[in-house]
Amino acid sequence: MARPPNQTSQRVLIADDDPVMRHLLRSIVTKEGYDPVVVEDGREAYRILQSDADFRAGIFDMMMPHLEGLDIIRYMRTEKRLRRIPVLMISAEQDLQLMAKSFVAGATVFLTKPFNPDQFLATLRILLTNKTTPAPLPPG
Amino acid sequence: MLSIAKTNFMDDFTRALEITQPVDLTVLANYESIQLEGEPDLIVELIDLYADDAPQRLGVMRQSVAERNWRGVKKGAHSLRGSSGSLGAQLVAQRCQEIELLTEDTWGSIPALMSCLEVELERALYVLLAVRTGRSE
Repeated sequence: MARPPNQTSQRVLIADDDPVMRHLLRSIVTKEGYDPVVVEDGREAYRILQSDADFRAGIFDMMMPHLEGLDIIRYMRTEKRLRRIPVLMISAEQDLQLMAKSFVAGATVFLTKPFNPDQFLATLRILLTNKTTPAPLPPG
Repeated sequence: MLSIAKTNFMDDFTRALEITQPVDLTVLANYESIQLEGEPDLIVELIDLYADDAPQRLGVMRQSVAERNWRGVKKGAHSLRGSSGSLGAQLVAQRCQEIELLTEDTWGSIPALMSCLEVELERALYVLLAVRTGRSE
């Protein structure tokens, strides 16, 4: 059954192919009082988002098997019901071009690995208190 | 001038020593702050996950080298770099980055780099498993 958008949702979708990172992100998000929904790759995240928009935020690794983080964000920004969900993109690359690509695709914040819990928490709080809806993709 | 030079030398020397440590234990220590009360030890769980996953990723990389699948080797190195950095296994992460930076001209270095990576992973796992044992007692 499809889950519509929910502005008061406590659920956070996490997609990362690294089991260490998945466990870490799950722990931090849980400790912050949210309900993590954790998947192993981009394809799983895409499958969930096709029928479930009930998320407060998304946290995606940039490089994943099958479907990358950027592809998921681009998909989300084309769907009205998913457009308002802010996204944190995580990458092991400190590459300004990649960062720019993420923001153009529709990411709200960007964080490079490795990061310590305080850095992640600060970024997560920015993400979850973000009141601005990401801009839709330009036409064409 | 002499004292500044001496200070810079000591800073560099200290940094060099730090980089030879297989695991930066402060990275693990940072995770104490996110331990959920009443839940299993987070650091032990992270080490267990890494100890299970990292050798598997290395095995996939070895297979990719044997198949001359250079894209696969780089992808494997990228993934292993991420998880290693998260646990403070800084030398493993460094070796992975060196592999990621290889070009067609420098692929001849891959056997040597893979050997170095295997050694560093073994060292990192030794330290991490010792930490795990200490926390489980």
